[in-house]
Amino acid sequence: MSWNCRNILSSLFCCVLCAVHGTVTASDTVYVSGAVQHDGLLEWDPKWYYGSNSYLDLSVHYLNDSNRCHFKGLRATTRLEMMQWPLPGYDEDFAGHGVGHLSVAATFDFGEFTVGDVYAQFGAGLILNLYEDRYLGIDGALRGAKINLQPYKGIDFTLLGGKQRRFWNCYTDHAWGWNYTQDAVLGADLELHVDQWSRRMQELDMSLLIGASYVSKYEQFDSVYVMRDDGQYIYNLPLWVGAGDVRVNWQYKGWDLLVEYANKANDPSDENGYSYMPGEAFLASLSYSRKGLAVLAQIKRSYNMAFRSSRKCISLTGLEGRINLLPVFGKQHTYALPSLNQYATQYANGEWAFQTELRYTWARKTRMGGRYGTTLALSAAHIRGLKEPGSWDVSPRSEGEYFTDINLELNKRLSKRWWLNAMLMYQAANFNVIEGEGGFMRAGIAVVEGRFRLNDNIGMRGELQYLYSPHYEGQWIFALYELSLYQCVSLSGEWMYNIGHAPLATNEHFYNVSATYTNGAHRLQLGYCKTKDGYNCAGGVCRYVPQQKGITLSYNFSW
Amino acid sequence: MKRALLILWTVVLCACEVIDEADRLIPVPLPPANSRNHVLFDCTGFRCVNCPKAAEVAQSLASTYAGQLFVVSVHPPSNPFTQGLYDYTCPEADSIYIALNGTPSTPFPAGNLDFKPYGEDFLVPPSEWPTMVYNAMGDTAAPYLEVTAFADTVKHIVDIQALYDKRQVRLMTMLVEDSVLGVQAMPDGSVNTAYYHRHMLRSASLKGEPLRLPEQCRLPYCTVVAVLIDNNNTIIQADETLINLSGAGR
Repeated sequence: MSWNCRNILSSLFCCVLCAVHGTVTASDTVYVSGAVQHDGLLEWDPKWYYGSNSYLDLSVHYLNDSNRCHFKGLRATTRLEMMQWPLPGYDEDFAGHGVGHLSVAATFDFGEFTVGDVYAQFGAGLILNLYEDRYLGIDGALRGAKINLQPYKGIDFTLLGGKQRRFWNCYTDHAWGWNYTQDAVLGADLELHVDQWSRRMQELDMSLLIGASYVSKYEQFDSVYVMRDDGQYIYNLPLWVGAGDVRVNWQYKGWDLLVEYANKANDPSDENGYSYMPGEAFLASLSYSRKGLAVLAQIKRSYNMAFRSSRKCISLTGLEGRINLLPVFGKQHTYALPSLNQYATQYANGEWAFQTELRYTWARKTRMGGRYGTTLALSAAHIRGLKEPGSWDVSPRSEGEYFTDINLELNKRLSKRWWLNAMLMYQAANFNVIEGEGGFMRAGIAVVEGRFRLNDNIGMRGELQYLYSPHYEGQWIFALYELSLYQCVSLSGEWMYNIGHAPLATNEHFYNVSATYTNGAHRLQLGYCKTKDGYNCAGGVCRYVPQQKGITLSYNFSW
Repeated sequence: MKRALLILWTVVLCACEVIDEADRLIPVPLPPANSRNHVLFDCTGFRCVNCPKAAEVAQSLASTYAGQLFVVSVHPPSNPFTQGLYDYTCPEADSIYIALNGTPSTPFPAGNLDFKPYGEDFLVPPSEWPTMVYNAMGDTAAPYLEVTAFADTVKHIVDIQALYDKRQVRLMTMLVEDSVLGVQAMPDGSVNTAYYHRHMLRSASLKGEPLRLPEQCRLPYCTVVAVLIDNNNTIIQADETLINLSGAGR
């Protein structure tokens, strides 16, 4: 990265802001929003290190209140990132600082035009889902443009293109990311809201959406050598790789049915071992909800759907450059022990995934509901491999199980001051598939969480968790206590211990104590921790976080 | 405006290239042999299920470029893939691993050629190794290096004698044992208890001093890989030799 490049970008942004201010009239509205975030960790063993990730988000909104023209408003957004020494577990290629995001969006009554860094999702994201998740170290923005049009009632059309961000690549080619000679991503999405054309469907309160998307990526030719018994070769790599997606979403009186299918052309890459087989993904989801009851059933089958803007893994964490995001199956746990073993979606190998959830709430002042009501939730997810590469058959029971998660959760308010949340859970994880080592693990987990509010100023929360497993690292126990005072101070302490009696047991203690002070939009947290290594997962994408021991400092402010 | 959108839409829809099965591989001639030798460091661990495949890639490359490419399998103790009931590590493996920017969170398998960065990283996945090696084989500038090794089984050391121009370079030597019978997690999830680990690093010396000879090493299966390192800390020449028994050890 060069400073000149950054200065020019900053100047450009200032010009845009000035231009916005110059056109403001008395009837218009301009406001600025933003956020500051700093997360740091000070370690001294084996060497002194202060790792930190800092972000400054800034948005300027201009709303045109006049009804005389099609123009509705302008939004300029930027994000300054400072990660000279990133937190442990973040890819070292993120080390640096600069303008990580810059975009200007103009809104009209018939659509929106965005220039700069754009995010988007087509359908469920099977072929395109560009998003930012700073806790995982992912920023999949395209530096280019996006056009979103609603030219006619019920029609929603999106066209986008650009170069995907991979760490600081927008600076390294000295073209501020606008150089598309090496790689680019193009996409188009059309959604037809059929119900908006049918009075009968509107009367029935029924909605029907038919959507189709197409995404193609360009990448310049690269010599990738391969050894064969009869000599050495290079792969004849496709410069353009296309992927298509069709979907139907129907909703009627609490019912919601989504069926989506995606297909990707040959896309040999590091991740799939330079396989030329086409990729496929199929997703079907049926849910029903009414007051007190929610039911969900989902099924997904995917194969070779690793769709990246770079066929080579730039980094060994492999989080960068992903164009799509397959929906994750399995409950996203927030409790400590259940989230020890999380599932990472198998993009290249493929998988069959099944998920169901039933949630029922007994109303207040009933026999089961008691005085305050009771909620019971049962959810199950089961993920298996494909019998053979590209096959639609499920792999046999004996060897193909990747992940299973069955949990029963009870949520009840016991009295005016007491709340209880309890969970029983069964987990099975094939770590050889998920993490590349570790064997197979089956575990049973019990969680009890209690919350108590003494008065408006004093509240407390406690957790007790126990994980039993004869495999992997064996049994774990976890306890947490949190005290909230005057709605501005929070003191928290947690302890986790590996009881052992398993092949990889460590009998190690882990702990975390912290104090948090909140004042309006400011939040400051100071803590001391020793945390276990493991995977931080969100949406089926996981980042390995090494064991940490040190002082943590976190500050957030938004306005 | 409509025309521009139509053109964009057409470009997006047409942008896909399907490669016929018969056209997927383009044969390339091997680079001409020269006197410049290289070392491929294969960072591996017995708990890493994908490492046997990487070892096959490394072995295939070593066979193709026989005499010009030497493989050293590094089992660094600081990486979780090497930790557990079985120990194939040595302290020197960690020194090399850390010099290659390896961390406890570096996923295995990963490899490096000649201590040089490839792209922006020192450690790269095995799918990159053939390309990395092929490109490096074009280097022709090679200083002279000839090395001989003598084992002293009483003192448990290996003495090194090396002929090279000592200006601007330093000598590093590595004791490598081949075909070590042991345990390895396999790609299908099974555990192979009769797996032959290839080219396992047993000890190393950064200054060309006598090498430590661990007791479990079987001398007929051991070799010494010697490398010359320049001021940029990259390997500029390498040589491999079998170990002779010295007089004291006979």
